[in-house]
Amino acid sequence: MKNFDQDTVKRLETVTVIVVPGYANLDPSSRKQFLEIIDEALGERPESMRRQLALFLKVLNLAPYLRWGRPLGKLEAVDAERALRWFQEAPMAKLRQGFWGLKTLVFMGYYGRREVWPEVGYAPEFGGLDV
Amino acid sequence: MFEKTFDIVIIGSGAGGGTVAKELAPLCGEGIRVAVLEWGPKISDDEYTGNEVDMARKLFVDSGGMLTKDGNMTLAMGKGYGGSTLSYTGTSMTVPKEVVDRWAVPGLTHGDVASRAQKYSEENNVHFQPEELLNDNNLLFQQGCRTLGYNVEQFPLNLKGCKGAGICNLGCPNQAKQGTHLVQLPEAEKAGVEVITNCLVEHIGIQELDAVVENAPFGEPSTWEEGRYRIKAKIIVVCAGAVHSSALLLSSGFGDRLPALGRYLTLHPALILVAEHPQTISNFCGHPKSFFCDQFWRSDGFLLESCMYYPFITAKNLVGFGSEHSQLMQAFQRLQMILVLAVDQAEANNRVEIDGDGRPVVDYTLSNATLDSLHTSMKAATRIFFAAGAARVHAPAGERFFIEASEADDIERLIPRNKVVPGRISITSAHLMGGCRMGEDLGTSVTDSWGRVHDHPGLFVADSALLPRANEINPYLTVMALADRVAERIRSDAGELL
Ligand SMILES: Cc1cc2nc3c(=O)[nH]c(=O)nc-3n(C[C@H](O)[C@H](O)[C@H](O)COP(=O)(O)OP(=O)(O)OC[C@H]3O[C@@H](n4cnc5c(N)ncnc54)[C@H](O)[C@@H]3O)c2cc1C
Repeated sequence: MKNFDQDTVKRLETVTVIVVPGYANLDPSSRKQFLEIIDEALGERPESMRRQLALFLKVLNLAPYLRWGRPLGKLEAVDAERALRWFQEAPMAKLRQGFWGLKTLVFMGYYGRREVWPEVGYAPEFGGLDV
Repeated sequence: MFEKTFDIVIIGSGAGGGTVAKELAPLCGEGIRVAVLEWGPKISDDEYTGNEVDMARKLFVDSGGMLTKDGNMTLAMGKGYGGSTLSYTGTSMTVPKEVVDRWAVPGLTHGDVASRAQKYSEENNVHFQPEELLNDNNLLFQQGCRTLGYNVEQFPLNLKGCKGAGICNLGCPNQAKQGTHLVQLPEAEKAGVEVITNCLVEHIGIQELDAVVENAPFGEPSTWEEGRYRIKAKIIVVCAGAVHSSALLLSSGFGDRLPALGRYLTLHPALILVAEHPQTISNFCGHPKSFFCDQFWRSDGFLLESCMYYPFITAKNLVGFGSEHSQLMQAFQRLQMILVLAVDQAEANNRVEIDGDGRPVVDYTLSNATLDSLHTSMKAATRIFFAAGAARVHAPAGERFFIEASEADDIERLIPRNKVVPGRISITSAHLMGGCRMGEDLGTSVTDSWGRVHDHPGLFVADSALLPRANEINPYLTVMALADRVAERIRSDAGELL
C-alpha cells in the first residue's frame, strides 16, 4: 500500500476481520485487491484525512486497553465486536463518524471487488435479461 | 495561457447545461458561437463496466465520496459529458402545483414549469414500463403499500431500449436512459455548439472566464489541448450543479453583492432500507425503481421509493458489521430495498461555502424535523416490508440489527427515535438543490425568475441551484424545465446582450 505504512495496514486488517469476518478466508491475491481498492480511494483524499484515519486506527486498536487490558487484535471475538460497537454508538460525533468512514472504506475494499459477487449471489446481466 | 472567444459559454453539461445548449443551438445558425465547458470527460460506451468502484470514479465528483462539512451526509454529484444524467435513475416527475406555489417566486407559475417539463418528457421518451417488465423487488413494494392502504404510484421513466441491467446509478451499459449525453448534447453539437470536456472553469469575470483543460485517466480526451485558458464570452450561463455553481460564483467574488449566494441549499436527505424475504426474488435484474409512495409526503415530510443497489452501496448503508451484516449481504437474492427521501426545508444556514482553495464546502445541518421524518419513514418502510412478506427487516435505527416478522407489532418500540443519530446511520443526497435561488429580493435570492443573476446582465444560472426550496419529488425534469425557461430569456435578450 502506498498510502499506509505496514503497521497501519496491520491495524486496518485487525479491524477488517471484525467488520467483515469473511476477510479471514481471503487468499493473498484477494487481500491484495482489497488493499489496492482502499489504497486508490485513499490516494484521492487529502493527506490530512489519511493521517486522521491512520491515527483513528491507532486509537481503535489501543482503546480496548482501558477496559480489557489488551489491544483490539488480542480480544475474544465477542469483546472485539463490543469494542467496535462502542465507537459506532459513541456519544462524540467525531468518533461515530470516524468509525463510519473506516467501515465504509472496509466495505468498499471487500464488496467493491467483482470477485465477491458469487459469494453474495449478485449476478447481474448487463447485456439483457428476462425479468 | 490559451485564448478563446465565444458569444455564449455554458458551464456544465448536466440536466441544466445540456438543456440550455440544445435550446440555444439554433443561434449557431445565425453565426453565434456557443460553447459548453464540462469538467468531466465523455465516457465511451465500452467503459461502462458495471463495477461499483470503477464507475464511481468515472461518473461522480470525488468518486461519490464528498461529505457535508459536519461529516454526516454523503453527496452524490455527477461529473462528465451529461453530468448527473449519466448516473441518475431516470424517474421523470413533474413537480406538483402546491410545491411551486410554496416556492412563491413572483412570475413563476406551475403551468409554465409543467408545460416545459412535458416538453422534456416527450423529448426523453418518458413512459410507464409495462407490468411484465417489473421485477419482484418493485412489485413487492407496490403490494406492501396496497395491503396497508398506502397510496402507491408508478414512476414514469425516460428509457429507450432498456435491457434491465439494473445498474442505472453506475451508468447504463446499454445507453437506455435518455440523459442529456444521449439527447440534448448530441443535438446541440449537430447544430454547431462546441462541447469541451475535461475543462474545469475556475473563475468567472466580467465577460470572461478562466478554465483549465486536463484530461482524466479515462474517457475520451478533450478536443482542446491541455493547459490554461482565458475565454471571452458576452453571455455566461452557469450550470455546474447546485454545489459547484454556487461555489464557482462565490470563488469568483459574486458573494459580496449577493448575500443569498450559496444559501438555502436543500438535499432531500435519503436513507436506504433493506429487508430479507424467505425466498429468492428478482431484484437486481430489471429497472430498479418502478414505484413511489406519497402517503406521508404532506403529513410527515417524506416519500418512499422502491430501489435496488449493488453490494458495496448496500453494505455501506447497513448500520452494523460482523456476522449479522455478512449474513444479510449473503442473502442478496432475497433482498428488497426501499429508498426514503425526506423533504427538507430551505434554511439560510444550510449553504455552500468555499475553502481557501476555492473548493466547495457544504455546510448543512440535518434539522430535528428532518430526523423526525427519517425516523417515521423507517417505521413506515418496515411495515411495508412486512406487509409484502419479508422475513426480517434491517432498520438503521433498529434496537437490533434485524427485526423479525414475528415482532412486526412492536415496531414503535424496536425503532426508537433516539437511535436516529447523524454519523451513526448512512444518510446520502443525490438531489442537491438551491444556492442560487430565484426570487425578487436581493437579500434572499440570487437570480430573477428567469435565471438572470441580480445586477449582472449577461450572467445567468440555469440548473438545480435555481430551486428556491426542495422540489419534493425527484427533480431532474424540473431542472430541465427551469433551464428551458432561462434559455428562452437568453434567446430573447440575445440581440441586446451580444
Ligand atoms: C445517483 C443519482 C440518481 C438520480 N436519480 C434521479 C432520478 O431518477 N430522477 C430525477 O428526477 N433526478 C435524479 N437525480 C437528480 C438529477 O440528476 C439532478 O437533479 C440533475 O441532474 C441536476 O442537474 P444540474 O444541471 O443542476 O447538475 P448536473 O446534472 O450534476 O450537472 C452539472 C455538471 O457541471 C459540471 N461542472 C461542475 N463544476 C464545473 C466547473 N467548475 N467547470 C465545468 N463544469 C463543471 C459537472 O461536472 C457536471 O457534469 C439523480 C442524481 C444522482 C446523482
